[in-house]
Amino acid sequence: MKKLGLAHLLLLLWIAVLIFRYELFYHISQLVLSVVSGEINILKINPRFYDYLVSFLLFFVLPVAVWKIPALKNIFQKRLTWLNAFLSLFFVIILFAPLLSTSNPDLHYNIKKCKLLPPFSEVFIESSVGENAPADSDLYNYFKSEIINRGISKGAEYYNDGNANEGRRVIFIFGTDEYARDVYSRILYGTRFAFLLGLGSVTLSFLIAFVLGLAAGFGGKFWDNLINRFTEIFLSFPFLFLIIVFLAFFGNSFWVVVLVLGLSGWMGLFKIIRGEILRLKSKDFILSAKMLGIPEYKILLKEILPIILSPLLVNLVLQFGNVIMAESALSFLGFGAGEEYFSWGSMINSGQYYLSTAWWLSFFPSLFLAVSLLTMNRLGNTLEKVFNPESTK
Amino acid sequence: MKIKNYLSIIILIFLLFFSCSKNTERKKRVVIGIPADIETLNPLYTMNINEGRISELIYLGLVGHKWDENEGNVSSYPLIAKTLKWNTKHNALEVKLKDDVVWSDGEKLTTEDVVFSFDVYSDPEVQSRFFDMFDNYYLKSDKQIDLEKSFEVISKDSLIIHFRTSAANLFDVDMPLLPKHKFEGLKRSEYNTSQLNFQPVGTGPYKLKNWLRNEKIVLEKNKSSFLANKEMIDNLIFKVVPDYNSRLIQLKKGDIDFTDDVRPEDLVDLKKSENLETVIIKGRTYDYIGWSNIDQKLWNDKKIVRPHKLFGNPVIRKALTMAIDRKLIIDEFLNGAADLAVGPVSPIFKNFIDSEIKPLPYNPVKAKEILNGEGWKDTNGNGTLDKNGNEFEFVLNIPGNNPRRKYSANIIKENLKQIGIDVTVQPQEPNIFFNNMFGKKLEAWIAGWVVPIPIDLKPYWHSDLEKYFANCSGYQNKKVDELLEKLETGPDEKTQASIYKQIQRLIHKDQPVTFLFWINNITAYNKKIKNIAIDPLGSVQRCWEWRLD
Amino acid sequence: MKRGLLNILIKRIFTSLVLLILLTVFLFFLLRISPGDPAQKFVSPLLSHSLAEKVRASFGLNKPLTEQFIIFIKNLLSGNFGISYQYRMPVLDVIFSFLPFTLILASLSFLIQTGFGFYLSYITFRKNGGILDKLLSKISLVVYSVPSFVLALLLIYVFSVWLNILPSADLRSVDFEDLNFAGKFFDYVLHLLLPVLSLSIPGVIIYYKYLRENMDSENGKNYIAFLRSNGYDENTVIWKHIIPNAINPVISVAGIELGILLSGALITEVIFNLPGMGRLTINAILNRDFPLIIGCTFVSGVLIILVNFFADLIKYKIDKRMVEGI
Repeated sequence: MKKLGLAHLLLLLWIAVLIFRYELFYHISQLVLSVVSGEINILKINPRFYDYLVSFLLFFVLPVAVWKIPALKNIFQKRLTWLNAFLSLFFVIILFAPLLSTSNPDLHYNIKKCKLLPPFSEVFIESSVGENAPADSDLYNYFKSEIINRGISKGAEYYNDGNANEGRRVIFIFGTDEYARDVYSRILYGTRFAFLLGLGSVTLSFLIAFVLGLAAGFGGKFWDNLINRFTEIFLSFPFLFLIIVFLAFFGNSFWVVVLVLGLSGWMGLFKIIRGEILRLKSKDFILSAKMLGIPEYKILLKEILPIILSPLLVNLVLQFGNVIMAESALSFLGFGAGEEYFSWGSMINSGQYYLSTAWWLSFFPSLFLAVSLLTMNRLGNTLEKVFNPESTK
Repeated sequence: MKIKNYLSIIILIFLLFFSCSKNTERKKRVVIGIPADIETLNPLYTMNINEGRISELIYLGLVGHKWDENEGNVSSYPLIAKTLKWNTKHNALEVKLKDDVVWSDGEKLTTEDVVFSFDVYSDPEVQSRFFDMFDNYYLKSDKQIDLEKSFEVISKDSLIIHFRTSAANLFDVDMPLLPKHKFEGLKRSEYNTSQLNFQPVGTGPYKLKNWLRNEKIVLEKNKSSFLANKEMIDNLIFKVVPDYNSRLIQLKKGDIDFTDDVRPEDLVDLKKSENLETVIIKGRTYDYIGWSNIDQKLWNDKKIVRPHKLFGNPVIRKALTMAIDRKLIIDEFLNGAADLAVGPVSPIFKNFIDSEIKPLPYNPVKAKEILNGEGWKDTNGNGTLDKNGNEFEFVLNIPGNNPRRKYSANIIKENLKQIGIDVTVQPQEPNIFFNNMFGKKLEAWIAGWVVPIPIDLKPYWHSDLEKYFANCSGYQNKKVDELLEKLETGPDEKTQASIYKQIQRLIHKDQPVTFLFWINNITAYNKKIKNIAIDPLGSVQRCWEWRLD
Repeated sequence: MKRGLLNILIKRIFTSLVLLILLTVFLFFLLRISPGDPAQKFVSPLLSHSLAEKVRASFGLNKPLTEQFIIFIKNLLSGNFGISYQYRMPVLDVIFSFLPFTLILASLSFLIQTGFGFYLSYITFRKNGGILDKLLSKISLVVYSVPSFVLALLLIYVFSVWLNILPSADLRSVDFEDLNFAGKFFDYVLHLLLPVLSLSIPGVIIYYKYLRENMDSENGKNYIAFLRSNGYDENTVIWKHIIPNAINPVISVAGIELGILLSGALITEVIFNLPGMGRLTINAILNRDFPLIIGCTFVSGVLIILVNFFADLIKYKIDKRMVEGI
């Protein structure tokens, strides 16, 4: 462990993906070629293909970039710790979810055969013939239908020219759910969803906190008092119920969840920003800058923002963890972003229905949730140590 | 070391308590698991199934009902009434009461209570669940029963009820009777908040012993009831266990003795258990996919009926039905414990169901051909069918709290994707969902109906949308309307059967909705309970006939 | 000095109350504009079409909004929250039948949280670097990251599904009445064990972490070194100086945590099927029981204000200098 660097882990991952997914790379490049040669109309392409394409390109561009850019190279030469291992794992999952996932997360496999399979089940799936063919086939066909034709013409059209004896083996690493979907792929996309949602509402919280912090810091005593009181109220009341009222009554979509969680998480950030601004206002260099006639907003952007960002970063990271947790709790109660998204919370929730027969349905999303929260907390602690060395021994 | 000592002491106490708690003997009682607490026991306001079940053990009506398995229909018998006699014109009913009917507080039940009950049920002030359902009686302008014209009290135990029409039947006198002497002192508008809702006084075989909110309702034998007998079970406990899995675990452990709505996937497991019995009853609840047959916007804005741009065409609705693998949902989610539905008449009504109608086959290829024939083709090559520049895409709404409908919706989405239809599944908070459904604001949705006993199709399928708001898909068919109206004139059983069959054929041809399946009701109970009769009317009814081993 | 503090605290309570009333007013309007129908239950093909209209009228929902608002304010000022649509009982009666359980559950887990949190941090502080210390510092981070509903599911899976020794839900057994006193007590203990555990474990860790960090940072301060070098007894140093200073900042955290517990531990109540304020509120929301929603919010708000008031008082008791701070 001690001798291992972060680069070793990532290299291992890179090679593993290359070995296990070479078929996929082959298909993607074939498709790219046929698009370039004009065989397939570019307008007919499912937007989803671009997701694959970006991951595909990044997969080969990133190693080169690491090689060439010294800053990135430095990061990669760090020693391997639990923290940076998990962090980089999450990054890899977010960037390369299409390459890592073994199925389309929405694909229903043959329900009769693949429903509620335990982890590491291996199933032989025929690319079957006939009009009522089950809904899956070999990878290339899958791509052609899933990606090029927006995944719609799966049943009736191409099954007729399939060969009954052909097929492929599919391994369900984390088992399958009640619709015979691959839990593993769903969790990977769930990571993307969770982090995107966290990013969205933390940004919103930050913006609110920043604007209010400025108003409180520069607006004079009256505004300062008013906003402070307001924040205290927000801090002490249980807004969970108000959040639920909002989500239950005004529909649940990704953006409503981002909005509601963003609106309910700015208080801690505001307190820090306000405190920092009040502290900095009396500092010599700000005063002298003011006397030199530099406009306030310039001082703000050039001097204050960079200074408050570092203590804020810790809280942003912790808030990020809170949002992820809150979203899964809401989804668990059935008030999350809805059916069309891959939320860990709703996976845990629907797994609860099968708790005594299919433990893996709730277990794996719970595991990912807990590990991502752990990583965020760890990251927060580490950042605090870096920015504020006195606070700990 | 110290901690170890503490620990062992704690464990010791633990075990001590454990041993003594297990020694309590079980009394003569049956515990029935129910998924939610009830809100009232007053038969004026009982809305959900369990409220009805429990309150009908406490309050009895003039007539009781029995299910006739051979006929596939319900029949009535006198309960509080000793005899019931129709006159020759079939518009007046002579009722004689049993002599030994007393309220659980000792007062005797008289014809005054009967008249009072009907008065209260029909009073708009009271807002009872039967308000405005007394069309066969003589009514006043505010829809309250005209007591003068309708009731002719002869003595304390006999009266004659006069009806406006000859279409009246025994279901018109089917209300649980209320004790006049208890309600008299109260203002009618305050009935719904009165303490009497929690302290019932009835004539039934059981009376309320205590009621712990959100936990349980305990009924005890009402010795003064004419239905009471020596061998009947002393206590019935309705225990609230919202979580299905805990209900099942408790059933297996023997903490509860009886529960309805067992999921089919657990049937195998329950059958293994030595002391449990399971009964499967053909369902009268069906799930369906509602297609809006009419253009909702025009209807809601101007009350004009025009066909919907996607689902207004019966041919397209037929294609949609054929593209959906209904059997798959039954097999995979309901473990086969359901029957494919072809129409709104439940298979329990053996005389009324048209068994010659076969369900449309699952055939996506044929479905796609039909759609192509109607002009829906994928002309722009994006995988979704289109016609005149419109894509075939829609939102399928489901109530957010129902796993079965969520499962169905996901399968349907996948099925329709295969023939080139783009479906977005959208769960809505249940209250909002039903509000939208009745308000005709949904394009496509999954919901279910319970077919009432006796069967009544008019509210669901009549074209008059102003009056019959439960026709949520806005189905329009003049022929069906005529047949439904004909049923109301009280034809004999044979004519009824032929009319129901005609209606089913018409509805099957039009496919106003896609009927999914009739869900079987599975009841599981402990074998120590004997003499149980479970039928479509319910499982707990007539539980005074139950015996314990 | 003392009077000054009381004045400040009373002023605080007053402003909080005003804000609480503003919040309920906001909720009143939010509920009126929100989609859904409080009389939904009465809309059914089996019932008369006009019944729902009549019921809506009896709830007063057909009156103009301003009139509804005036009635609402009048009722609010006289402490009357109206009649619950769902239970057909006065709102406060409904709430008071659910509140005792919430109070018990909250205070029980609060005691466990603070008690164990303090105990663990004290023990590990005294034996700095011991096995327990090392173990806890690792465990705490993991447990801290497990959401309470995941923890609850895990506990249910292990103790109810797998080992099958503890009940997975409910407050009491069916045959509760037949038990003797010890049996009753034990029945409660058995049923409450899992909920209290899943509610308390994360809290214990939070208090442990806070206290431990505060103790360490106090310990590193100069005056402690000064006291020690002047030969003060170690116990005196810890109990008289380090601990009071370490606890003080935690009290407001405790106030907020207790407030959240008192307004109902929603997820725990839902998973374990316990009759508490959290579930009452959620059901009220889902059933559009407007008076009950407002009543629940108000009662929780009052509880939270009270708890924060007492937290401030205790803070003052421990450190008299903090008057200027609030």
